[in-house]
Amino acid sequence: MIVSGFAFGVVLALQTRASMQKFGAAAMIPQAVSLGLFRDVGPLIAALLLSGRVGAGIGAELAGMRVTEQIDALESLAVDSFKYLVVTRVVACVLALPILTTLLNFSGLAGGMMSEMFASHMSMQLFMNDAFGPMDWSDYIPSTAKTVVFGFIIGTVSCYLGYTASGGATGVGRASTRSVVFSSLLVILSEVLLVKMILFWFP
Amino acid sequence: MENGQPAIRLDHVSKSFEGRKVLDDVSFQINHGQAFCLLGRSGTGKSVTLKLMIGLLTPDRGEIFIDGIKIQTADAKKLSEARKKVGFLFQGAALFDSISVAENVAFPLRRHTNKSDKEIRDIVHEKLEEVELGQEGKKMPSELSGGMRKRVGLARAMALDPGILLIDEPSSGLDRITASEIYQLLLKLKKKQKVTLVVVTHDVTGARKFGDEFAVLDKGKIAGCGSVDELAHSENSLVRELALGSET
Repeated sequence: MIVSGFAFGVVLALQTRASMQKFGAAAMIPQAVSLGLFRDVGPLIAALLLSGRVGAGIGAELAGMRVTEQIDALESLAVDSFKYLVVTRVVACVLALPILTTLLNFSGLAGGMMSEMFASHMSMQLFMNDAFGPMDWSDYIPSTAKTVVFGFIIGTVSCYLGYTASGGATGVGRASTRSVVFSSLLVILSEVLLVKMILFWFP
Repeated sequence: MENGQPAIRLDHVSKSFEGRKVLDDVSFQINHGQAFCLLGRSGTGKSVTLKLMIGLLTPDRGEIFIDGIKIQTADAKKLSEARKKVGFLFQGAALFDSISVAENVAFPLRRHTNKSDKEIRDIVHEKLEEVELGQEGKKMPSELSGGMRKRVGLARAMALDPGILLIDEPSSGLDRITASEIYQLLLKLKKKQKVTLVVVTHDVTGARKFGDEFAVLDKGKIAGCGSVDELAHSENSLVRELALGSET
């Protein structure tokens, strides 16, 4: 997450520089990078990374347990497999994603800063002042809080597809692929709705 | 429970999958202390019957009782209570592959008892010794052979000392010698610990070593029930073939 965030910050700064220089607005690059990362790109990238890494893992793991009768074994040992396997994973996704998003945001900012330091010899202090100067808590909290919804989507979709898998090894592969595809798609679609809601309450 | 008292009872149980009737009005009773073997060809619903017994599947019709607890209508607490009385050895052992052999056996003890770590370690060691795998506790399930996995599954199923043990195809995928070792273990459990055994198998030769009563499942119905000798004289040719061990 940190490496991806850093790399993304560098790319964001480079791309922003290419466009903004044309309009003589290179000084606004730190602001563009920070607002872009914290408001939208950071949460979305973190959610998509989590979906690809953890969503696929959950889907494959639970599907593997289903087809090898490990879930039945849990039930036969008088353990509620839904609580034991599903609830814990969904809660973990819900709690982890805001933290991972914050990590990605700050590492992205560090990447953007490094890029600007090399490109325009901007000082760290100036970059930070420009990056955080125009920012408000309303730029950070609602957009980070929306990752709770993303985490819930990734957790529930992956768990559902894994928990209900069938069809042996093919079923495991299918559950893993579908977990990534459906959770990523739902994350992106919910982003549209959530951005609308955030802009309505925090214009 | 006293020997001779009903441990498991199926009353007019039917089960279908996607329109195909797997069990059709099946009824039988297994008493405590008995070793009951359910025989039949592949795909006749033997494993389904075992899963119905502990509520892993729900019957379309009929009633199932474990020690008097009606499985279908039992609330979560009652169902859990019934399941703690029953150990289940799955066909592929169904060991949890992310934890070690010892942790697999310790799992039900950690979930359902307040025993200390030392007590649990001792019980796990004892259970693994009973299946002659006392030195394999630190291994992961993926490092075990098929026969060893079955024995670990048996140790895990016996961890809470249940009175009833359901076993799905104990000899499948095993050579004759390893299968015979599993049968010896079952015989030991029956004799020493007076465990009620319900074994699903198509290997009547092996099942004769420990079985008291045998039932043959065919086309969703009980085609014959009794001792091997009784089944060998049945009018149904399949029952006779299975009882004589010529059908596999």
